[in-house]
Amino acid sequence: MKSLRKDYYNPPFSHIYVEKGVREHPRVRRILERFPAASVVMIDHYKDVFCRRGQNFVMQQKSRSLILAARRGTLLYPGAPVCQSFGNEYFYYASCIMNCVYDCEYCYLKGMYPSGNMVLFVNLEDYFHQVSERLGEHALYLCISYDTDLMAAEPIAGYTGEWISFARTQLSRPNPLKLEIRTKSADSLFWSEHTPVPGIIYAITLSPQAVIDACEHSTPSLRRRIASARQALQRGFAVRLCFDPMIFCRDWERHYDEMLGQVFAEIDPGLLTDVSVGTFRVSQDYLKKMRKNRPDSAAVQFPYENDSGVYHYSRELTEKMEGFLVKRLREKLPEEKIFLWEKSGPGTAGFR
Amino acid sequence: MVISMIYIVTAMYAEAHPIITHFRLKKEMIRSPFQVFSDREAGVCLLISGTGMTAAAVAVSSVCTRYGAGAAEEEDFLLNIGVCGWLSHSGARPRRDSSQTGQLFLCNKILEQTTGRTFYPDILYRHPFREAPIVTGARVYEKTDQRDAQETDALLYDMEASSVYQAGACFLGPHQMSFLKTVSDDGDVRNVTPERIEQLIGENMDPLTDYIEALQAISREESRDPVSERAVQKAWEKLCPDLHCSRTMSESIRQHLRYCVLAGVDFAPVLEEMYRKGTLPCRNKREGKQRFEELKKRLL
Repeated sequence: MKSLRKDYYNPPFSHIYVEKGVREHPRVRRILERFPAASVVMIDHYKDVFCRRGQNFVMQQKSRSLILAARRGTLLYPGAPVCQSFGNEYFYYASCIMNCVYDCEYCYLKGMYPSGNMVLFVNLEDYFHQVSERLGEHALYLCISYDTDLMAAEPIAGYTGEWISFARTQLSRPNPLKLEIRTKSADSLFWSEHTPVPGIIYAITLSPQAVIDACEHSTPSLRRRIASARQALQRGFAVRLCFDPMIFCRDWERHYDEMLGQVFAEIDPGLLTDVSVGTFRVSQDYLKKMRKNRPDSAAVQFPYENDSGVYHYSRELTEKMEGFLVKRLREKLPEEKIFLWEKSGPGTAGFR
Repeated sequence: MVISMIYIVTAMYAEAHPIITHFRLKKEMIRSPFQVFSDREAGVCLLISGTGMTAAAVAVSSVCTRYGAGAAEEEDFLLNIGVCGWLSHSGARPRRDSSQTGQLFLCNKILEQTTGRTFYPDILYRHPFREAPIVTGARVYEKTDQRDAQETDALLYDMEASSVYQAGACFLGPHQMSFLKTVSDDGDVRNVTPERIEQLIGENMDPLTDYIEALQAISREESRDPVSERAVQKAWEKLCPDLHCSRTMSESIRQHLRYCVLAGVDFAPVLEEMYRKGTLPCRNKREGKQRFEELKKRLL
């Protein structure tokens, strides 16, 4: 009991809930082997654990459990209006993992999900099948790392590698598959263990170190993220830099200016696929829950303005922040490589 | 999170007695079909529900309502402590195993035999106990029931846990409930006397009290800083009438002040200057609106 007094919470993934229907699935076995000390609890359906009423997201995040399950029905969803489509007509996203190993205070997942636990859907083949079917009809721009950070979860799930292998098999299809993998991770080994596949874009989110320190808990530093992006570019991977969401803080101009200085001291802008810019925005329903969950977070408690159900900074501040960054980026990149999120209508999601 | 009260539910007095003695709880003189013992200052309230699912649900609901459990956010915790049967099977091959007697288990899954429903209390905190699923049934478990029990993955059997969970869930979240059960028998209840039950709980009082104390310590660590919220409230209560705020404006002001406190922006000098210059308090709503816009800009 002495350890209890020192550190009250169980380590992450000390408890793994497994749907009875997938207990013999090879991915389940592989994942369980990575956590030999975990207590395994058999369940009928992932929602029995994930959707219980009255859960405390923040406390669960301190001792996150893993839920291994299969997802049925529709697995590809149209991209939300508050998300950047980068000019792609057929913009979809897929969630093969729900929740994230990182703890970013402003993350919309804290308002969207009833639980801080992480769900891994092990039936990836069903996702691949639906993608393949869709490619028979039209091209596809698919974001697979929206409701999680897929690359950050790679040591647990290994799903990024599996998506890469799948994407490689689709290269000969007449309708192209474009995958976006958004991440804050900075695993340098990843770039040496994989090879570039045409159509896969690695979207690396960058924030000033002051914002990382204040809000993006457990994430790699700005220096490490830049180093990772640089390594990816040197090895020929397609990299998108996401300055989205921009978070207001005291001296934000200085912090964002310094960040860009660090970025372009290391990265040749000519090698970048593109960049995206956008200030924080989130649906009112999510922000309400986020504020309840994180009463101590300045990023969440900022007095945002509500516009048709979406909370964001005031128009004046939004234009000032985005304008500042876009102006600096124009000095390094051609206009067509800078994507600024512009509101096209009320949405249901926000930005991680 | 501040745990203002830990509610302990036992089915029988024999299960409660070692806990009452340890925490020196006093019987509450209230008109109630259930015996309640408490020490309000220590934040412990013990309830003897009686055996069975209905009694457990009614008792938990009654006490949680009477004492306002969960009314203040994240402040209370519900512990179900008692004895249970050991389902003497292992997979498909039944085996007799009464060596578990006296072992204390933390339940990570509760199956309700009559409905087939399952419940999962969060296991967030480090603990020294073995974990096991428990099945809650309507009858006393006897060896002849083994066939039913083998249909589940449960190792333990009791008559209250699922009802305590369901009644408790009306007031508290799954992170605020724990189920600790000591094995008293493996389906042969002939020797399970009140004295024996008291002995079994008494032998586990050290880990039980450690766990309760840990919950209380967690509540202290997780507690919100009330000083900041008080500073916001004080300034807000003065500003709202001085700005002739509408309801929307007053909420916006509160959010601005809250943000300032969290972001380390000192709003006091800004307000002091406005009062000194006479721009506050405002004479009417129109002026209030102008000052409100000015104040928002200055605070950010």
